[in-house]
Amino acid sequence: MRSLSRIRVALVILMVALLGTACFSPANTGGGGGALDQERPLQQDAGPPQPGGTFRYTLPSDAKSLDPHTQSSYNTHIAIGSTYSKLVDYKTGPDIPYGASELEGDLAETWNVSPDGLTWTFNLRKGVKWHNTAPVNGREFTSADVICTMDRIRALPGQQVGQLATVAGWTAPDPYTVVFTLKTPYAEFDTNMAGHFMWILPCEGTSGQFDLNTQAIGTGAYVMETWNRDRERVLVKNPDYFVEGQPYIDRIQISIVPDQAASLAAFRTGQTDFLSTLSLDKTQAEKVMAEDPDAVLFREAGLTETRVFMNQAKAPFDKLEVRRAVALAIDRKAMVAAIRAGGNETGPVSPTLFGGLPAEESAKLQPYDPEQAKQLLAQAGLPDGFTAKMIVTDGYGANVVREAQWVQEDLAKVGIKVELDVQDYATYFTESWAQKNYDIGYGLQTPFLAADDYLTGEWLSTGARNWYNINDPQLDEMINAQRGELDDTKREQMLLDTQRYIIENVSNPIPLYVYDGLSIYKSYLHDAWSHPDYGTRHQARMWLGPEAPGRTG
Amino acid sequence: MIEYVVRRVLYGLLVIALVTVFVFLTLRLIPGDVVRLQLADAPGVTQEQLDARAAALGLDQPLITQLFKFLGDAFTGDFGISFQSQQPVTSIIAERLPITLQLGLMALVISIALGIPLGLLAAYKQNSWLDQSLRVVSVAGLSIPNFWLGLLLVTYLAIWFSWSPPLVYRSPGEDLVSNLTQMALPALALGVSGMAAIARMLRSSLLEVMRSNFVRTVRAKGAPERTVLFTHAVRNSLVPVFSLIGVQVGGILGGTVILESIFAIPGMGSMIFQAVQMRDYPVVLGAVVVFGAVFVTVNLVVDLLYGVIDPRIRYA
Repeated sequence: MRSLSRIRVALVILMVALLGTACFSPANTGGGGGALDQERPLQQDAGPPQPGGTFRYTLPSDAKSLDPHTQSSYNTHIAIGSTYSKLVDYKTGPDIPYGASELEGDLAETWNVSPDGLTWTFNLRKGVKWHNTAPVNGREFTSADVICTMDRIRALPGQQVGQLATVAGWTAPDPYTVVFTLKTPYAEFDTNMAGHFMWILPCEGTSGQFDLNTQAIGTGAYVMETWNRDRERVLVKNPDYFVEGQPYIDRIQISIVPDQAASLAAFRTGQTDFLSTLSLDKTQAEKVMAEDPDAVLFREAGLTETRVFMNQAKAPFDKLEVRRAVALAIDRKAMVAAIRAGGNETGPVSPTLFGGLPAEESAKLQPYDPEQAKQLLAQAGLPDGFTAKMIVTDGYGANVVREAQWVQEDLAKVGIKVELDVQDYATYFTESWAQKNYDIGYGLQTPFLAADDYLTGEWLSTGARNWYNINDPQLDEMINAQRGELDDTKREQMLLDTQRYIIENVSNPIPLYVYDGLSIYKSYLHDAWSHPDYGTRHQARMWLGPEAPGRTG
Repeated sequence: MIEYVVRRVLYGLLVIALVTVFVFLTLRLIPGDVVRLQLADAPGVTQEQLDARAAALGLDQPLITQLFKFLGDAFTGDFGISFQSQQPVTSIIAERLPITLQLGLMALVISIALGIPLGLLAAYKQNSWLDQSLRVVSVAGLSIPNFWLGLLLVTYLAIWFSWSPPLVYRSPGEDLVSNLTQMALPALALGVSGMAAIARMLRSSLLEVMRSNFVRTVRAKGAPERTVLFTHAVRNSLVPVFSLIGVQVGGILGGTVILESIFAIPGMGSMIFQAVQMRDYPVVLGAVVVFGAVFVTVNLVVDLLYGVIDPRIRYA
């Protein structure tokens, strides 16, 4: 009896200890994002930038290669994002909304288009030097490098060729001018040149004099000093950067830490200065903000669309009434509030982009109306609803699966019973979605940076990403017409009309909302105005206050 | 003896070959197309480009041809080229294997260094409150998943003591202190279940030996209890513990897959984790062969050590 009571005591002690460890929360994280309600915005008037210091942060995974033309991975493009430059790039700053489409010159000082929209001329900066690393050795950048780069982009097999699909050819009339001749007018050609893959490489790299997979020699603000694959990347200031006085920070140290908990621990203990959206979700952000009075929250207005998509080749999704019923059955507002840190309803093109349907209008065109959804199902001859299998991947994180469950419940309320089929990313992407081997699905869409990328890729009957069997000649005509319109006002109207047509007459894929991303900075980090493109050019303008740890400047 | 070793080595090679074939087939059975995965988000990729990529990766050959080619090349130490990084798999493994072996060894040392004294203590104080408490600790150690323990350690050490392990892996040659500091937590998380298993096994084995005739004889001769235990009983109770240690190596190698990812350790485990996600077949297969070889070798060594511990077990 005595020993039994001792066992009980020991068990109780252990259970209390385990429960304490598992359930103890260091901060009141409460529901509803209490800590996130009191956002501390980035300091905008911290005085003139001060040079010096080391900026440290973690990323969950590393690039497999540094070659920006053979790799579509986000990891590769942000790995070389401060090392290479583009002809033009997105403008960022305190007065520019996150994700805005406004461009500024990068390697090109100015650019213009001929009245017929077929000839684009880029006037390059003079005196730009490549990094002083062999075999390029700090020589001057010229139009020959742009030609080498474009030739390579076109010659390589793979996805990047699509970026130049509308281009007939390119020439370099002098060392500081490059002229592109298009096959058909393309209003967003300059935006296209700011897109992924359009990094300008030195001819020494394109001709194989150094290995582009493992080395990056560019004209950007930072020189890649070391790259220990899957461990760390260290970037050091480029003393010859073509923007006077920039960059300000001496050194950038990026550690590869796959686990979110480890990234958070490093931020909490002062080993890093920044938590990227990739290492942070709503709950974690609430905890960190509640714990750390010096942490600064940066809310990145959403660009990534959440969507329900259907295979129009499969009944009953071949009927517009059914697809519309699905669109009206989902309570987007409640869903984003419950699962994400904030966001906006969206149309086919993200609302922050040029030509994106305003969130209010998207909400109006796709209201939450389960009664009307039931009526539409009855009109389609399915008054009792139907059953289907819905694919989703856990490769996008737990929130996406939660969202799919939300959609599942909403659809059930109007009589559509979907069974969730949770797949790993490789299966979801390569076997189901892209192969059109599904009935209905829930997922995210890669954030494109131009309205036309969405429309031409996904809604055109011949679109490379039309994985829904959409085939609407009228829609094809509308999409093709806007591509050639050079008048911005007219084109914007055409883009809006196209999206209204999609929502009402195609209703597939059904855009739900774009959700906000959260990142957290230490308060001594200033002017960190990023852009959702695959790049990190904004790091050239960032600087560290005197209170930053280990600051030497 | 030599004949025994040769036979065991041959059996070991057969085991590795069978495991490789099994993993090869399993990898191909699970859905997911590596070529399409590599060309993800690829506007306008044509079937010809897909075929060209498949041919470049050697995936256009019949499955049986691919299998025999891999086995043939693997026999000469060539595991092919990684689909993702385009590096030779052998050089990737050469870079990462020492890191995982160090982690595994540290976990094993923790298991043994803590498990044996705890097992001895539990047996020595059989049915006491200490024994009962150690039983609870052992059961908890066996039940708690190592990745969960790892997450708790990394999270709560940061919250309570404002401490977290170094972010970037340094080899012992680069910075020994940083290396050991970074390895300590994952090694502990990996070693805890081994510690618990060893403690339980040693306790029961020791108690069984203590009831045997030769121990009774030693006691009858008037030897003190400590002499009975440490001089006579312990050595005789170690054989099953050694078997267990051999088996634990498999668990530790498996545990590195998740724990190396949590603690940002660039070893074989985190490599397998990424390679499976990206369907990098050569890397996964190369890692399986190497893990299989390590496991078979350790168990052979353990079997040979039986004879050293207990001279009655000798291989003719």
